[in-house]
Amino acid sequence: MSTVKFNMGVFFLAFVMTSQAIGECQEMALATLKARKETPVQLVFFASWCLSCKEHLEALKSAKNTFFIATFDRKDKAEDVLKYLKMENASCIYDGEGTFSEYFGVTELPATKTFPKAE
Amino acid sequence: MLLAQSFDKEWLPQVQAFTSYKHSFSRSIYDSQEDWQMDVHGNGFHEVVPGIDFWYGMSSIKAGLTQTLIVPLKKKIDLADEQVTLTPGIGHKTSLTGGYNYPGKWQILAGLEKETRRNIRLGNVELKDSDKIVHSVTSTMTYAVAMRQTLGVNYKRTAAFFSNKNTTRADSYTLSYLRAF
Repeated sequence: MSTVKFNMGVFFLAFVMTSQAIGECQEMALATLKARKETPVQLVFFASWCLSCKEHLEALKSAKNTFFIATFDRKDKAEDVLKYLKMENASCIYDGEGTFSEYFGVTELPATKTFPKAE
Repeated sequence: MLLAQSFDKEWLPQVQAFTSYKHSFSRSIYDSQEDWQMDVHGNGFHEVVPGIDFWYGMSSIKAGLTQTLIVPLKKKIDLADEQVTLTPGIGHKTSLTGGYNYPGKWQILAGLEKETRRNIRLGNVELKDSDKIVHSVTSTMTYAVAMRQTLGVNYKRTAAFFSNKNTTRADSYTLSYLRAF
């Protein structure tokens, strides 16, 4: 059973990372992320207008198991900055409604959270 | 906000349009009713102030330009047993700011400001030489003392340079503490 769950988690991650177009931030429901139980991921919250985020993103651009969450921002502007940083292949989620920010208690940018949350 | 900044386009300014309202709780020097004009504080008129602001803030070197229109509202005053309309002159202000920001630590800004106001009208009579010209200089330094907490020091001198008219030279110092919740 645990082998099946692990495989489903890996499949989910692979599905998410390959189904989005290169350089695009996809819209994902928070429930989809919360349904994951395997493989902790790092969530990096950023915005195109956040100057401090630029250095933060550059430092993490090669990080594994990382989702970059564009929040408090326009989708096209967030995608533009990822292209500018040559991060078109990064896994990006567009948090247009702010649900991810609210759930993870993000009140300033940049912010890095882990999911599932560490015990 | 008309145009937001983005760190992939440092050359693009943030553009904001704004409008504010200043309510006056005192009289002007033209309708003062107390000895020594003790009831005069500020210019004594309600004002509507629309403006536009350009701010280049996406690099360590900061620069900004603000254009403001000052629209004072006229008021009726009692003059020699009759009511007369006092119409203050429209004003215009240009502010130029520049400075340096050390990310996450401190910032220093300096600015030049020019404000002009047209002549005041008393009824149908324009009061000659009641117009105003003020050139000011300002300087602000802010320091991040802790996360989301900033200490600031500001200095402003009005009538600081060039020729000025119908104004006073004044120095003001302000100490501020800002905390973001």
